[in-house]
Amino acid sequence: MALTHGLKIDKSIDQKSKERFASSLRGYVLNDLATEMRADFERNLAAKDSNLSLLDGTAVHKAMKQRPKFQLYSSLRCAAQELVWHTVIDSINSNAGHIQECGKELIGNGSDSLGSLMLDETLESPDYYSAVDVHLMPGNYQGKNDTGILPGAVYDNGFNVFAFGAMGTDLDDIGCSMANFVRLKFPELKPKVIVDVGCTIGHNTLPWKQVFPEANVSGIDMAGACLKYAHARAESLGIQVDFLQQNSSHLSFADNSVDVVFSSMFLHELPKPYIKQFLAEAHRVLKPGGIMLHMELPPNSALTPYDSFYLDWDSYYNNEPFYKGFRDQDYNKLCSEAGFAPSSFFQSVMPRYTYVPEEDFKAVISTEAEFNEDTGRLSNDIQWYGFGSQKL
Amino acid sequence: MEQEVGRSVKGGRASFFNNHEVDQLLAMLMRVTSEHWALKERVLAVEALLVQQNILLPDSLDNYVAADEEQTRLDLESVNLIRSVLEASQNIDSKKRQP
Repeated sequence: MALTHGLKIDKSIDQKSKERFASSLRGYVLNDLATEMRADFERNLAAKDSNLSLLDGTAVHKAMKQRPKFQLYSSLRCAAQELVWHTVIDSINSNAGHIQECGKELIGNGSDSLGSLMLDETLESPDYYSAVDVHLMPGNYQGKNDTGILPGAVYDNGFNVFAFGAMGTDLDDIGCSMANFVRLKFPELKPKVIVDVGCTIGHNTLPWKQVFPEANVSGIDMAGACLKYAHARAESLGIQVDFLQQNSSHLSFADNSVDVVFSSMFLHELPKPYIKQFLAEAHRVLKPGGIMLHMELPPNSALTPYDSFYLDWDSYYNNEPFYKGFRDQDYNKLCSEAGFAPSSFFQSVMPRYTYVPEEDFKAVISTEAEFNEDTGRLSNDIQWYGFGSQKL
Repeated sequence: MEQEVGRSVKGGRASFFNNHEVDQLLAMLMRVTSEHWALKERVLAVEALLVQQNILLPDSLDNYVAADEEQTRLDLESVNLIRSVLEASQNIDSKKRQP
């Protein structure tokens, strides 16, 4: 699925071929090889586990490590991940001047922009933030050196190849799904202020403005390079969003001033103390009746030991050091420790909004969350998981 | 401001096979396969364009038979390619390890 916004680049036939190959390789690994690896586990480990030692994801991981299927799956998955970035960086570097110029033109001097960009050059990143390149993505979200908005372009184009078409037009399906979840699940809520924390390039921030056009929508991130790109990207699509460079532990919003605090695939990239600080901040800034919603990977407690192992693969091998630690948490407890009433906790497993009729989407979110092997697992049948709480 | 994004990954990546060189070979093989695929798509695109523009008949490539002299040269080139690929490992001594 090609990107459609104003920062998209014209790629050569070779670059497009290589991107399609990287997507196909990832699709093969995550669908075909993953199915073979699960069958190997069930046939050769689970069926023979007479003393029921495979109690959790950690035990399954330990048992799988020497299985040739696991080794092939994992080695190819890493190779595919590296290929995604390698291929995309080729395209970005050969179009670097064009991307920077487009960005400058779209950002302009701010006077005729729909939204705004507020960077804080004094913001200091915590140590964890630059310890590793998350997702094996060279330069991480900020870039190793000053390369302008190119880190945003790497993430945008790389994520598009990485997701092999499973994330919607301009990668916005998570945002579309979550915004429509709030619209349909909380019809009485008429949000005026919506904040997306950890927004990177704003791909999942923009749908909130489309679903709630009367609201002021802001995207928050620590990576200035991604925020600049996000602002230019939003302007090119004609969607009014304000982007602010802030730390999720210290939001600039006043107490009781926000209707929706949202994040997507963000909490699992934070160490536990930072998760707690962010959730406490969310509780502080929300108005009574406001909603906190996080699109995330499902908790390990809701999954089978094999599915826990499968999703935690990223924590061990995809430079996601906090991923498993987050997924081992009780999400309701995390919310209640931040000040939310345990009775206000909600969670939902939902289909992708832009891939199904709204009636089907509505029917699923009106039922209890049902977890299965496709919950949060990037595959052709992925289902999103969201949890959160309403401030009383 | 620099105009090129680097490629090194802070934190590196894991290896999975008992001999990590298998992981390295697999990664190289995928990189080569990606290049091979790009070349194949390009050739297919060229063929399709030539057919669309009536420069080439649809089956003319599949029905193409090289002249004897041309085929001899191609056969020799293919053997040279095989030699070149296999010779890449000739200096590797499996008993000689890094100190």
